[in-house]
Amino acid sequence: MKKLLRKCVPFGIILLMMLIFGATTEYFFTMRNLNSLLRDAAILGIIGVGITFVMLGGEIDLSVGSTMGLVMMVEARLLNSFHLTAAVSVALGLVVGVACGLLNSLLVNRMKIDSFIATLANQMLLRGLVYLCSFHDAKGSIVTATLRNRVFMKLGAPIGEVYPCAIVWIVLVAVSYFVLKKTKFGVYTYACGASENAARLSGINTKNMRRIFFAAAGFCAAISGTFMLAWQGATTLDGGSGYEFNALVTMVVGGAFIGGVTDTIGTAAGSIFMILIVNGLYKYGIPSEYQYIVQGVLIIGLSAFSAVRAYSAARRAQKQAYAADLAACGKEAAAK
Amino acid sequence: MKQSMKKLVCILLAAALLLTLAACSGASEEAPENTAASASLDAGKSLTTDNIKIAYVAADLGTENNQKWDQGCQEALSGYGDRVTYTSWDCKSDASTQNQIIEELIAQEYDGIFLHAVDGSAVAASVKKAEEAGVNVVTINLNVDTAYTAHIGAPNYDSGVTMGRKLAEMMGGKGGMVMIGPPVAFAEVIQTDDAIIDTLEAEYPDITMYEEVSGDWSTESGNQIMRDFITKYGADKINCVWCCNDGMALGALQALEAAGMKDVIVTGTDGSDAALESIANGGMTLTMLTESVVNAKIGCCILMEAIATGVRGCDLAETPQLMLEMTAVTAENVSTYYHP
Repeated sequence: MKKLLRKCVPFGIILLMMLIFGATTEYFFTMRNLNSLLRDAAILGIIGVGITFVMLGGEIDLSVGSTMGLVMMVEARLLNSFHLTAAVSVALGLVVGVACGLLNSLLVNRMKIDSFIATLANQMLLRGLVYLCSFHDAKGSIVTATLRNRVFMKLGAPIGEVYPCAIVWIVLVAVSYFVLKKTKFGVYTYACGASENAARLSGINTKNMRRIFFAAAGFCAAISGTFMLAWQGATTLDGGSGYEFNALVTMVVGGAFIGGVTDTIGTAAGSIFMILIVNGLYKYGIPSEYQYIVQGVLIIGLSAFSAVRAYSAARRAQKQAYAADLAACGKEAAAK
Repeated sequence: MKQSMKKLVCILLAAALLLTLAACSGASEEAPENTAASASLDAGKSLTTDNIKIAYVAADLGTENNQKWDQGCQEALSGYGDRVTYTSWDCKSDASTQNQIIEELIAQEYDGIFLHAVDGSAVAASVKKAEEAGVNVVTINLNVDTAYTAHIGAPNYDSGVTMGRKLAEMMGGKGGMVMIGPPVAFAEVIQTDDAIIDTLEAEYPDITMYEEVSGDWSTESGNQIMRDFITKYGADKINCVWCCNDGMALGALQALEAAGMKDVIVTGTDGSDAALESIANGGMTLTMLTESVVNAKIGCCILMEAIATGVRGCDLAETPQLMLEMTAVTAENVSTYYHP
């Protein structure tokens, strides 16, 4: 019950913020705005799902933004230059995303490069590939092309009132939460993150686990990129850039919300929180430089709150242990 | 006097554009499939009694041109009284952010958007949505790949041809030249460099074009690229450098001065205050001036008229375009434009 209540805390804060924005601004509680909010949170949140597995497994992935950009460019080229169908283009895009993730795991597993360095290098490498794959005109200059495939564009348009990416995000969060909490794989994931050596000595194939974490991150980045491309109808050379850090922040915020090690629901709450701040501040017409400041302050505040809570919990546990020890000593003395 | 004439010409051009808009709308009234256009004409707002919300969505408010467009919008809209609410938004050169902001403005029921697009294709879908939602969009500098209310731009290729001839004339028809071009993503829309190369190749065989390298608009990149050119081609081979903005031209000038190359012709584009000051002090040789504040004022006037008439850009067959001329500013005429 306490656990369930703790899970509800972030969504309570989000609801409170929404009520404040709704009460103080004119256009917050409109269907168009709520849909936009959900769409933006979904695009960020889908990447967050993949990143959560990587981080819980004790690694980091700084290449998901570039993976997203590459998938967007590859799909755009497949659709516009090679005139492939939407289904085939999306399928190949997802394959590219998984391949980017596997490349990360190869660097970490085989070449023993730290995941921070490996994925940072891959971030640059993949961004270079975006340039190479981009559209060029007759003179060889890079151009941006508008997508014409109507079937593909439907992925970026709302079905009734809800964007498809929001539905996919909710499904992904639910499935990934089940995997993390109710399966052996989830236990192994937390074990890898707690201590890789202990996990390996316990018989967990940590290399294989790492392969799955990075592939999942690439896959999620590819899904996110696909929806982003369909929504925008075009992609640029810097498509997806910045999303790697935003996704990491959502996880940090999610962890701070829950008050400890996060999971995909915490990350989902972090995604909504991040997008909600921007959306709310837009309503007040606050310039972007102040938005960054507000975001930074809120993240620091949440993290500090989480740290204080963790410290208090540790102190409480220490005191309880001390009291138990004292009681045991007292009983021993009385017996003597 | 010259400036007043220019403003008059601009206003006449704006009037011509409005006539085009009206003509397009009229045509759509006759076409049965475009009845929505005629219906929306009746739904125009009163500029004197209705509240109107206008936003300027800048690609990057950190650049001088964007700041001048912001200033032009503020000045133009202040003439319409307190009923007009004006806000400016910064997209930090990110197309996704620009898309989000445009959608936000649609959600907030803005009436008009004055837009400097980050990328003409990447924001096309959002601009279309805005027009369909009844938000008029007028763009500046960079055209967007969809039909909307109006575009204010400079004729890039034509001004490049003029500039190419001017440069050749200043070089005496011979010598070596290098270019610092726009970032690769802007190659499609900024055709001035292509026009200069084409003109020099076709008309001035004694001028050697060594190389064109893309910069990133910053003074630092202009400086870095120019230093590389000097190392690669030698101080005695380069007679002229053309840069696609003034910031990079000033960087190139610093590199040339550091190398003791005082006689090289340094040219830029935009007519920024820093470039005009440099020309006045004998640094840069030439800049192509765009009157950013005036251009923004014209854009806002068109936007307000479109809101008043109820024209919807998405109903037009194609976007009406108003192309404004650029002025070559050298040491001879800099006093007309530079007032310290």
